[in-house]
Amino acid sequence: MARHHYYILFIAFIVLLLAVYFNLIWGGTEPLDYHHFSSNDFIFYQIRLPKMLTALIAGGALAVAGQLMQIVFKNPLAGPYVLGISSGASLAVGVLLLSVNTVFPVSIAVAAISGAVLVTFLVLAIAARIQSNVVLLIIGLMLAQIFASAETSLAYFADPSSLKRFVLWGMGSLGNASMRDLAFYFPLLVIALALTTFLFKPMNALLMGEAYANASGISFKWSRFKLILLSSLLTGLATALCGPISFVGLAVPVISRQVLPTAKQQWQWPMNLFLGSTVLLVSDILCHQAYSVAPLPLNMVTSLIGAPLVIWLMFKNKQW
Amino acid sequence: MVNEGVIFNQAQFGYPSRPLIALDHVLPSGRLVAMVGKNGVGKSTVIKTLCGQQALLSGALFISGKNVADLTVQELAQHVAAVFTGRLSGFHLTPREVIATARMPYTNWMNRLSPEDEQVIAAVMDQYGITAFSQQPLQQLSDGMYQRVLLARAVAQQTPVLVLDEPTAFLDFASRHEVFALLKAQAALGKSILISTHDLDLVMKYCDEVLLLDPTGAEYFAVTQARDSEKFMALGGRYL
Repeated sequence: MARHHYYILFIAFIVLLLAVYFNLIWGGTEPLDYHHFSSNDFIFYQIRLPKMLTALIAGGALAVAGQLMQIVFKNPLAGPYVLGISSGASLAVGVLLLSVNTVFPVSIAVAAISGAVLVTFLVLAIAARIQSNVVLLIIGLMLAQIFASAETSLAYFADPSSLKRFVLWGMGSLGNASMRDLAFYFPLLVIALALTTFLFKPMNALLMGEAYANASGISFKWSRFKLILLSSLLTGLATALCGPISFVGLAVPVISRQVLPTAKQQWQWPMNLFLGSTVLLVSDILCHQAYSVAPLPLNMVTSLIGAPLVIWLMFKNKQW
Repeated sequence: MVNEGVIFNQAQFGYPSRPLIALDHVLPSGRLVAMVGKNGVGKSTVIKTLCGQQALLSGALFISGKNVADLTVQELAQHVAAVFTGRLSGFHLTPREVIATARMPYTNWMNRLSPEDEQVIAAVMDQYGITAFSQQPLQQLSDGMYQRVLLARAVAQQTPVLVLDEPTAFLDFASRHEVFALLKAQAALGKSILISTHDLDLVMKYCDEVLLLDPTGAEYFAVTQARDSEKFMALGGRYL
């Protein structure tokens, strides 16, 4: 059984490597021309490479963030988008983009992370008073609604040029980050991902629900705190890098469980990492190849390929 | 492991806004004790409090001589194992993985199972006939098989005290008897077992003592004296 899992993981890793390679070659409106490689240096190092690295790390981070959330809520509908954490990040960026005329990329990042962290602490304060996870989930969804309507009213009164900037940001883009931005975010995301690997024991305990986790000697509330905190850190950092990518955190953990049907979260973790990165890398290729004039918005494509995949897997296996 | 059973020292169970029941009793080791009473009287609350998931309103609770309030979640899990109501679902959990969580109170942060842990897991799976379907998804098991897995999990935790919240609800006739017989065997090995149940016939057949919860006060008596208790007769004992 375990050997079987090694093969599946190995194949997923090979697919990821292929996705990296083809993303570098096809991840632009024109394929790289190897006969004039030196003239391509700029394109490669300043555009394609940072874009590939962004997809690689943000995709993995969002998928793992979703994995943690789905464990905490024992619910496949959970993702970084429930609990209003992403909406909080998004609203903070909205306030910034719609109220200030000149915006630096770094300030978008700071806004996204502080939005995510603020909402996380709000949710954790509520969680301390709430026993039921379903109630917490509903409160999170309602928070997301409040932030979304706040965002809409901001947009309604905004001037057209800043509105367009904000709408474009909301569609998600892997091309925002420069190599210098990545030098800052990449290590942070790697550290956050590494921290999640210390939590496999509570993750596995929480699969059995609150009562059995406590009865197995794993404090549910403390574990929930750690998992939600890391999840929103990953979400905030990834959102800062590439805007709100809606689908990866929700769909990839579901796909991962279908492809690798095991409850062991130490197996699901690398699977989510590989699949999340692959989904973003492939989506980016499609963004650039499907329409020749200009790259399509990323969120359009991730949902377009992700949603049918989830539906098909659900029909096939009929369990989550 | 010295087992001094469970001591309720003027223990008040319930919620601050709704106190439920007060207990001032001793459950000795090596006994199978049935906790009976109408729905809503506080049986689940007593079970949850024994597992440290809810605090006492007042008084104290001792398990194997230790005050529950002084124990960490992990330490408590080395003293009390539990079976709760409801079925787990999702995540492709298998019986073996469920049973392996019983060793979490003893493993390190990586949850690495020692050879001894592996041996305990293999032994209970053998003993309770789970080995054959140990890798099947939990969802595919019948209610009886599922409950056997959860019982095996509680046994694998190797605690002096075992508490169970209505483990025979939804089970067929044979599976109900199987659960009680299995618990009686565990009590004979020296564990204190508290089982909440509505199956008074099985209580009479398998249990040693009865802890009867009632809004007007709790009663504790040997099964042989059950018919002398008005409250027990009112609860349904008169039909036995």
